[in-house]
Amino acid sequence: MTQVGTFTIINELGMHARAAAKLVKLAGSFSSTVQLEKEGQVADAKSVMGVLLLCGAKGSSVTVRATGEDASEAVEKIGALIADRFGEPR
Amino acid sequence: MRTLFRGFSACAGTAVGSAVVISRGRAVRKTPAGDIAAEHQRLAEAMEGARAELTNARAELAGHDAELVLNVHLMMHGDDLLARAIKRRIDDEGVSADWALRAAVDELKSPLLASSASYFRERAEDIEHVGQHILRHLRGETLTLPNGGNVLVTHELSPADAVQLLSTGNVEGLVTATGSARSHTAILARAFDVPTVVGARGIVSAVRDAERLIVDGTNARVIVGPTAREADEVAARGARYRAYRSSLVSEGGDAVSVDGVEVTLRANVELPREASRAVRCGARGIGLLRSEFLYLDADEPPSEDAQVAAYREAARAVGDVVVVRTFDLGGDKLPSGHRLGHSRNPALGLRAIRLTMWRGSLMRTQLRAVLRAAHQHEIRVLFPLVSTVSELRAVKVLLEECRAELRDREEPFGDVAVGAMIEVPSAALQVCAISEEVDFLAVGTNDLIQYTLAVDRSDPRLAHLADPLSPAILSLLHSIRVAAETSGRPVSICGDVATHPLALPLALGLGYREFSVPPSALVFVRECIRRVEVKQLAEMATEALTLRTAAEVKALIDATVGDALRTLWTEQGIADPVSPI
Repeated sequence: MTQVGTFTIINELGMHARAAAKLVKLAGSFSSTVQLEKEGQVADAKSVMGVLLLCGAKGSSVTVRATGEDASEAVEKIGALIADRFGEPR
Repeated sequence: MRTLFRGFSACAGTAVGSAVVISRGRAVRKTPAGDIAAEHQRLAEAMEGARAELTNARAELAGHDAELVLNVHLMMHGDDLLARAIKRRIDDEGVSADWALRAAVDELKSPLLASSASYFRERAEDIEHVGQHILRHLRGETLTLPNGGNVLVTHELSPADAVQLLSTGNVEGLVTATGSARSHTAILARAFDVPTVVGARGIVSAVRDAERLIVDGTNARVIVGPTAREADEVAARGARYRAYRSSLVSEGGDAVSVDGVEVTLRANVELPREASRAVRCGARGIGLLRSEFLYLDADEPPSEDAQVAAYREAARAVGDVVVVRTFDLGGDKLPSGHRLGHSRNPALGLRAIRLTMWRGSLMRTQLRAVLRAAHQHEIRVLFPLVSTVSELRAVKVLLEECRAELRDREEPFGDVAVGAMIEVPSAALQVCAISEEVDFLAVGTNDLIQYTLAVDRSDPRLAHLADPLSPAILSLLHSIRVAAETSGRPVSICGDVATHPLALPLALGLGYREFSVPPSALVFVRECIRRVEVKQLAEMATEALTLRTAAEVKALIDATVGDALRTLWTEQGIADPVSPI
């Protein structure tokens, strides 16, 4: 099954290198395929370069699309990571 | 001709040497692949080699900030997107792996370069570094340097190349044309303690290989083609520093004042590699082992066994006492992979001893590791951010339970002295009661200043308020010292106060006889102590305690020790002792 969720990047530096690395690590922990989409550009959420190349700056809106057994958990957890500003202090 | 370049200081210190210019990029020509399969094989081997090198470099920097940078690069090296893009070009266009790599890197960089956010444009540089690194392996090039006296001049070093070059110990100084004090190269230069100036625009094209130049990291400048006198001065300073440092090894680490007062100097250590440097600089053990280096960027807390190994290794490296400060996590130092929930005010939130007691298993595992490591080594344990007596009592109960557990497991363990950091005003005000609960005290001046003066130390606009010489801080330092003496507990200072050119003499005057400082500051602190008369400083401290402003305190200290210490300050390049080194 496929799950979709759209989230806004709220941390100061956006999906920068360290944040992208965290997201990729998290996405890699799911068996589902996970894709990120920003303004029509699609990236494999398990590829750090792919995520970085989306240039998800603060304020941009990112859609997470997961397909597989743990799809809903993947979307939920990735959404939570984004909402948690990738664990960065405010 | 003598030319002066200005940049930003990334690592203080001065060096003179001959330039090794590493110019950007290796030109790649578009060549057809002779044998497609062979190109794929070359590519696989090069990517493998580069990855292995990077993995080694990361081990070298375990726990350091720079490790995070290398992690991202390692992930990029293993990224399918890059590998696929290169392979596709080899197959579709029938070109060499070199060209396919060049083209793939350029293609990947382009959306980042087009981004409006400078942060993303800078990340294009990361991809370029990764590409250059693989290219170096494709061509079988190695990074070699002539022996001794090298000053590297380059646009910017990739983290992998930086580790490779700096760890040879063959680099006296480093100058880059781009970058800032926050850049990867700067972080690494500090980790390896190599005098470095970054952001010296135009330097690469202005310097020829083997040309003589001075890197003045202290004053953020580079002198190309210096006068003989300038070069001699810098070389002599470097030679004195090295001779002095090697004399420390034979003499032992104690610093003795003019009037014969002995002071114990220990080292604050974060990276394992710093422990051996601390010994070379004459440290009598590690006064503050920032144990969170084991934890940062790991998804799981380090196991008991891993901790035992790390503490033993540190003790072996210094052959002396090791004070393990329990994980100082939370606040501005958040571990990755842990959701701690939000705190409106992290500095006052769930951090340090509060966090490790809240997640009790963290504290238990660490205490068992410390006890086991103490079986054959002198290990002490120090609790950060203690604010009440009850906290200490609770942690001591835990320590007793851990001993019982180890006895049940028939695991050998040793005696561990228990200490409290005094870095919260409530602890400072209750220091008599706290000292009766513990075997030793350590004053963490950085947090004590932040909490007492209510100043966020990371905000440059407030820097003038975060003055270590403010009378309120003196008063606390004084009462902590008195309480320690009354209860017969040793007390040390392990924050920036111990390396501050004016605060150090004052702390000596207040009666402090033990300091723990970064390895790079050991020589300076020791030399300060050897040039002052403690009896005179004690009189100065008594007078300082009656003053009302930090400016008055500074003027008094400057008037008292200026004559004795001015040469040393100048030697260290401290133009204005009022601001810390």
